[in-house]
Amino acid sequence: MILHLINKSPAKSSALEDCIAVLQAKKSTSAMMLIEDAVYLTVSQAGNEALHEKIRTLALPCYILKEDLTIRGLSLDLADCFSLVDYAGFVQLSLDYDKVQNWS
Amino acid sequence: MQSFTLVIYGSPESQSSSTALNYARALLKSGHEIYRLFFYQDGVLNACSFNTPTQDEENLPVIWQTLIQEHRIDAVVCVASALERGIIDAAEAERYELPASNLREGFEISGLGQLVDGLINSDRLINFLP
Repeated sequence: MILHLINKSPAKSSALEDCIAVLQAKKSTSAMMLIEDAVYLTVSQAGNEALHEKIRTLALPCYILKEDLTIRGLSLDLADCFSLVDYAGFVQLSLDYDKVQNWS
Repeated sequence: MQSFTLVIYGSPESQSSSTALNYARALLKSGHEIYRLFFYQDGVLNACSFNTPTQDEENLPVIWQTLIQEHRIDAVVCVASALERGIIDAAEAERYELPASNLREGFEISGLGQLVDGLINSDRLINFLP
C-alpha cells in the first residue's frame, strides 16, 4: 500500500503519467496524492481530461491538496475521480499507507 | 502517536519548503511527533541566518527556526550540501579559516547517517522534493 506523491504540473512533467503507467501495470491498493503544481491536473481541459479518464479506469483514489488549489485560485468543485484533503488529511493518508513514494 | 522524519530538499524560495513546513505543523497539531528534520541539497539554505528578504515576503528560515525551537525538534543539516552552499557553523569556519559562520541557531550540521537513522527509527519518512 503506497501513497504516490506528485508535485509537478502534468503540463511540465511526465511524473503523473509515469506513475499512472506503473499503477496500470501492477494492480495494487495504492493511491495518488497531488500537491503543489500537480493540482493543475484538476483543471478541465482536453489533455487533463484524458488523464482523468485514466484515473477513473484505475479506480484508485486520487487525493488533491485543498490548500494548493486555493492558493492557485483553482476551483474546489472537482471531477468525480478526485477527493479533496487538507494538510491534516495528507498527514493521515501518510499513515494509512505503508510508505510515501515521490515522483518528480 | 506516530513519529516522522521529514526530508527537505528545497530552498526557502521553493514551494516545497513551505509544503514541508505546513505538513510539519499539521502533523504536530494532530498529536504526532517529529523525530527529525533533515535538510538536504538546496534545503540547507533554510538553515542560513543571513537571509534578509524584503518586508512583504515571509522569512522561511526564521519560521522554521521558531517551529524547531518551540517544539525542540532535532534539525539536521547535511554537511556536504551545507559546505558546498556556504552554510557554515563556527567549527567549520575555524577548520576552513573562513571569515564568518552563518548557521542559524536551532540547526545542527551532521551527516547522511542521521538520515539513515531517521529512516530506521521513525514510523514514516516523507520527502519534500523541489
